[in-house]
Amino acid sequence: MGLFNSFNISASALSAQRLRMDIISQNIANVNTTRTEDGTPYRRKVVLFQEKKEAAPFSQYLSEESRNRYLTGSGVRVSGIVEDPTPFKEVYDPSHPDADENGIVRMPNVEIVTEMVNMISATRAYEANVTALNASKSMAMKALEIGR
Amino acid sequence: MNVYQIGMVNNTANTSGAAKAAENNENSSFKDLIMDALNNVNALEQESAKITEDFIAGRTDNIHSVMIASEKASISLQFVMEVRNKVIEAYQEIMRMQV
Repeated sequence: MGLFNSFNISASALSAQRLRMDIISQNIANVNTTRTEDGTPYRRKVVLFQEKKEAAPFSQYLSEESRNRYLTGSGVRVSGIVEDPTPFKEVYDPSHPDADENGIVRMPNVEIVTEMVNMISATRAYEANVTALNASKSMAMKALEIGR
Repeated sequence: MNVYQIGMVNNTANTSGAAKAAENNENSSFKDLIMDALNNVNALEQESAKITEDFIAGRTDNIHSVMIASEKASISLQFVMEVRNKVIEAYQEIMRMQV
């Protein structure tokens, strides 16, 4: 439906930013986790976004292109959650159960300051998408006022 | 995988298609048009109600999808009300006609 296209685009972005927020919370929650299932410290996770294209059949692309009209796309989608490969931080703490024979503990590669900055960015991006949604809503409401 | 037929590629190829569309328009009455619009609005209202229920029951936790569904439903309902007002306005205009 053409009228609600921008609504659906903003909705996909809102979902994407919420997932990003989930991952940031997971990173902050595991800032001191030295043991995961595979025995290594926790690795910071990052969300990858991808432009979402409409699942349009080839014939639609062909006819839209031949009439010089373009498909707008349909928002954003999460293409994956990957682990940050930067090395673990090493802290000297011989009393820690996970310390090696030299007293070195490998801590997660989560940088709390970076996570806070990303959190602000996710919140602001969410707000921006809500603003875009409200703008398209007020456009629709203005259209209803035509001829009144 | 769905297979779609290749649609109208350019304007020269679509003369027969345009004729068919015109024929369709003649066949579909004003009543059908209104019924279609009402059915669309009804579907949106039902979707909104379903998502709200899901949210209350805890089956989904996407607050924004609840809000967006209810916004969609409310905008399309207002659109239908606007159309109804126009129709009634036209009807009353005709009823006021001197004979």
